[in-house]
Amino acid sequence: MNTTTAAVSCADVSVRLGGRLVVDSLSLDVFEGEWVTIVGPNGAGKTTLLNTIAGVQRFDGTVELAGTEVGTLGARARARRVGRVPQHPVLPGGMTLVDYVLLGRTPHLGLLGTEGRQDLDVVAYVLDRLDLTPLAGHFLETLSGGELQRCHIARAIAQETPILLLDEPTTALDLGHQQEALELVDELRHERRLTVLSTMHDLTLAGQYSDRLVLLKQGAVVAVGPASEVLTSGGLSDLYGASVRVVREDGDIVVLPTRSTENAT
Amino acid sequence: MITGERLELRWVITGVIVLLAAAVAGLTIGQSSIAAVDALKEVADRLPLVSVDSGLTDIQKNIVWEVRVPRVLLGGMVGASLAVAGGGYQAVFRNPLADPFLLGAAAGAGVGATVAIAYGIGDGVGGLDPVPMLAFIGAMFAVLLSWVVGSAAQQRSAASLLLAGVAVASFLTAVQTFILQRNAEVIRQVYTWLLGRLTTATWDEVRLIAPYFIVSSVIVIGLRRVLDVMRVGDAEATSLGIRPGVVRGVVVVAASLGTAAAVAVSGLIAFVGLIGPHTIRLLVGASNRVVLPLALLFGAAFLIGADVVARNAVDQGEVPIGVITAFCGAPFFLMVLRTSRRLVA
Repeated sequence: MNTTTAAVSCADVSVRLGGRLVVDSLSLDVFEGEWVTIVGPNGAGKTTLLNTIAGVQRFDGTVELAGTEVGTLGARARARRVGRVPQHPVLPGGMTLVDYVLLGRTPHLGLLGTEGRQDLDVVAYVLDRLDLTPLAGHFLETLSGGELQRCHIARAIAQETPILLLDEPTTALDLGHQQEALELVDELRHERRLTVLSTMHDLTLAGQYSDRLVLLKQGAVVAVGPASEVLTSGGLSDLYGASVRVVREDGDIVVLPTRSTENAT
Repeated sequence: MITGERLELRWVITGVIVLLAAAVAGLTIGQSSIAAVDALKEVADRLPLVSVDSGLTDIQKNIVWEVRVPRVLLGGMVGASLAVAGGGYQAVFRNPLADPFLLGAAAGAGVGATVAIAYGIGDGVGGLDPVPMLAFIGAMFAVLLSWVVGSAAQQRSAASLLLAGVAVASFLTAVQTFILQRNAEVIRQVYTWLLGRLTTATWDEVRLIAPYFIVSSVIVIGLRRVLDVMRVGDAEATSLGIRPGVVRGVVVVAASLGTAAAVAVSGLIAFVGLIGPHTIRLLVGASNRVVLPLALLFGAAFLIGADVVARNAVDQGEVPIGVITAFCGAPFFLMVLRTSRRLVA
């Protein structure tokens, strides 16, 4: 893996929301082709950090995308570099799956332009790749949670950006669909040499799929590194105020919530 | 091969046929006894490269060319402007209750017209009728005021703009009521204007509204794909490379120009702008690529048709066209609402 180019570089980034410091002087480099997952308790600033990198959040400090400051990019140029799957995407009523995925082509079209042959080809390929072709003509409101999640990922992939931001891509999914969605992202990452930056609550999954984890607490980085270094029972107990045990199982790091015996009656 | 939801040719053809049918009805049905065929011949004769003898007297020719033709053109442009503006407003505000009068255009036009009528402001400027001029200015003033106030709010959003519109409209309505109360003798005249009518349609009005109609329709319909992107909300539209605030501003200004011009020449014709686009959504599809172009065709046809009814429904005088649009349109819409399997988007 080429770890010399920083695809995303945050230096001394701070974000205030309603007077509250949500991201606190954070610095982080994510390298090209890398999958980095931000973990941390609710309110740690994970989503805000993703929004900042996506350019949809005001901030102090410097965020660079492959060496270009995000603030200097126009809306369209930025949308050609960063694709984002939000935690709770808006579902427009009466829109078909294919039209929804076609929205991903927006940064490649002029303001008054419409999709051409090439855009339709890109979308056709993405739908095929994500097994969504049979559902292409279905309305979004008729799709299941797993299908919708693939559909949101498909739109971001159709955007053809080198950087992909995934905000809680697995929260709404059952175990099988969680693995399916993450495997898919990982395959696409290798195929297209994508840089993936995600947030996740499931620490075991986060450790299995990410090259590095970033532990965030109150907007600041507590630890960065591979799962084997970062996921320790002591560290996690502090971070989450929870009782956990970290187990090594066939090379995977498994985080188990535990219940102390005096509480369990 | 995959394709998205696109405007199908059959719907365009249907729209054109319905529009032509309405236009023919508008040209041929009236209280003067002119044979339908002769009326059409007279119109054809005026077209370039066509020469047919309609056999009409000069007075009859005048009725066709100076009364009916401008009235059909005016009705068509007013209906199309309101329907396209309504569709545009609904798209940028993502609000099914949005209509062209959302940001106070109606109230502003009302104040303008009331001032012109109550204070009998001369012959206007350059011999133009002061009522449409002041109505137009009032409508644009109201929309700009709503825009300035709504955008200055800390939380600059579609909702703050919408609320600013409501406040501006209430304020202007109060001003209008105050003027009316002080000038009770013009209440009937103002009321007639408010109800909407095409009775004063002349070529002057056609020339007045045409440029606004064209500019506003071209801009709003031209942005139809971008307006589909806006359906995922401001934040996601931003990460797809759109600037929602700018798009909203452009569409609001364009739609308001069309609305102000329509209101200036025809008074307040409710219903077309609100329900027109929804009817198309329910019958054909929710994409703005479908809704906006068809709103133009069917909006025009609907208002021309409503005007035919307004002119001929009663023996004496006319029924206000705003009454007809709601009276005929509401039951039709309720039927569509009940039978359509599509979502109200």
